[in-house]
Amino acid sequence: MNAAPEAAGEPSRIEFPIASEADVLRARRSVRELAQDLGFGTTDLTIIATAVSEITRNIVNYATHGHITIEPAHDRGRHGVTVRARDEGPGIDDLDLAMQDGYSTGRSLGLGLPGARRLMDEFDIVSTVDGGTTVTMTKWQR
Amino acid sequence: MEVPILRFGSYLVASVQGELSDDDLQRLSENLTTKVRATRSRGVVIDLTVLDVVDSFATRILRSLTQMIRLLGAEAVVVGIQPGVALAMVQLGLTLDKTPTALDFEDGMRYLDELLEDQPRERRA
Amino acid sequence: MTETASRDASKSAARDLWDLYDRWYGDITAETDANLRAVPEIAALMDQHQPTDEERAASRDLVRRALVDDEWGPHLGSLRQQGAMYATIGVSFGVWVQAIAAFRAVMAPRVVRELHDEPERLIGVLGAIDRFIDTALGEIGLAYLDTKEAIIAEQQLAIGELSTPVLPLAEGFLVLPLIGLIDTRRARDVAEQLLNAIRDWRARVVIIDVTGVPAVDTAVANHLLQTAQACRLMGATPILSGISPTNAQTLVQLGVEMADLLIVGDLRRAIEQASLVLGRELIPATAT
Repeated sequence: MNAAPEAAGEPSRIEFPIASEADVLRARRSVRELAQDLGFGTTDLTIIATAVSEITRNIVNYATHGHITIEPAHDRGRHGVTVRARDEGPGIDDLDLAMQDGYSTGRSLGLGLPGARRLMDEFDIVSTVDGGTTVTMTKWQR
Repeated sequence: MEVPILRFGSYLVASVQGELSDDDLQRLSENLTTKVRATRSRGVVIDLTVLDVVDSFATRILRSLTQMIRLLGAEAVVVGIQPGVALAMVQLGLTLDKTPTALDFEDGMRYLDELLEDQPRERRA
Repeated sequence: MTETASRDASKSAARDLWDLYDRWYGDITAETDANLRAVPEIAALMDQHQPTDEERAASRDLVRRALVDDEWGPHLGSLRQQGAMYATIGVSFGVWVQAIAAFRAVMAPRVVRELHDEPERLIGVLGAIDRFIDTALGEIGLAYLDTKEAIIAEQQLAIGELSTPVLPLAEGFLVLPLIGLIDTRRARDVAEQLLNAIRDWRARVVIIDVTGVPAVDTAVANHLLQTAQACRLMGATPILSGISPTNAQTLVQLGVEMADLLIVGDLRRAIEQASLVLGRELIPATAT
């Protein structure tokens, strides 16, 4: 399979470990910069940065350490940004329960995962007990 | 990170400069408590203009802060939430509960003026 | 410590502060400038308003007179001018506070290094820095506020070419007439335009009129609700108008939570509500 050639000057992927609050800030700043280089508008930049804040905080609060990758995304002519956050934490026991939308019942201040899903266009989560959790989420340019 | 608290008449303005950690909140709470008491402040404006992200963690912190201010007998108003931040917050389902909001620092002060002009000062022991 | 002794100690600490500041002037200024440049809004500000060498020397002299001679008048005057300038050129409140506080971030560590084995002097100078910064924040703040109020009073509502459907009808008051089908993407675009308009026009009331929207189902209702909540976060009261009785029934049956939203039947009633919120007349009185 031929990979599509990278557009000249397109930002490349960023990755770094997530272990502390400082890394949450770094993740927010990094994704904002990359998304801005890709041409996302002001509002979307904030929305993407907020989603990244939610999932990286999750790692810091519940899994203590993990890893984040931020890179451009392409699919049939549309462009966007994909963020993957992986941790080696205890894993989520009941994924369905964790992903339940507490929004309407006002319990939305718990895990940031359902919230992050609402902010992004695509959202995938894989988790096993003792195997850690990987969240992959993408936002496409409008 | 130190949050500067300025005094304008009987109001205080806390200008949040960036991300607030739990330690920062602790310090801000203590500083605000001291200053509200010392200046017998009737209202506190919390200015979020510089914040580019308000997530569930920050919202929880803001709620504690405004609750504390009300327990001290003062009014609290949150100002400076930017359009993108407001959109992200509502999409996340975050609210500031009963805390009033205003557009910016000036509107926040005007709000406090309007709110408090009919209320006589309580006698403090 | 008696009050006199305490005042003397403050003055002595202020002179101490001046000595150190004077000695390190070059480095302090360079480091403060570098730190401030890291903030985009401040960098732009600094590019536009580069102080001349004479200006820098003059303001340095005012600081010396304040700290060494205890002559604060001229320095305070200069601070007030600064505050008025920030308001005039449109620097946001949080940003100038950050700029002033940068001085402390740069001075304090150097002072600690220099005086670490003289704790009394160290405490004195750190206290002097705090008093110096607090004075600056206070004077600049008051001048900023006064000037901002004057500017806003002068500003005309210029209704120029609006690329959005948001209509500023009167001061503090916007109407957003929605027409046609609303999908997620359109809802988000409109919400963004509306919130930007709230900021640009300083709106305190927003009327979202859906008379022209044929189908208000749960999805649309949720978008409307979110938009209304976002308006509130920015200090604007949202009023929803134009929900037909049929649509209202649908919403109730779908159990959509509209409890917090002011909902009225038509635009005229919405404007009446808006004038109540704003505390003044927005429509001419009609003959009964």
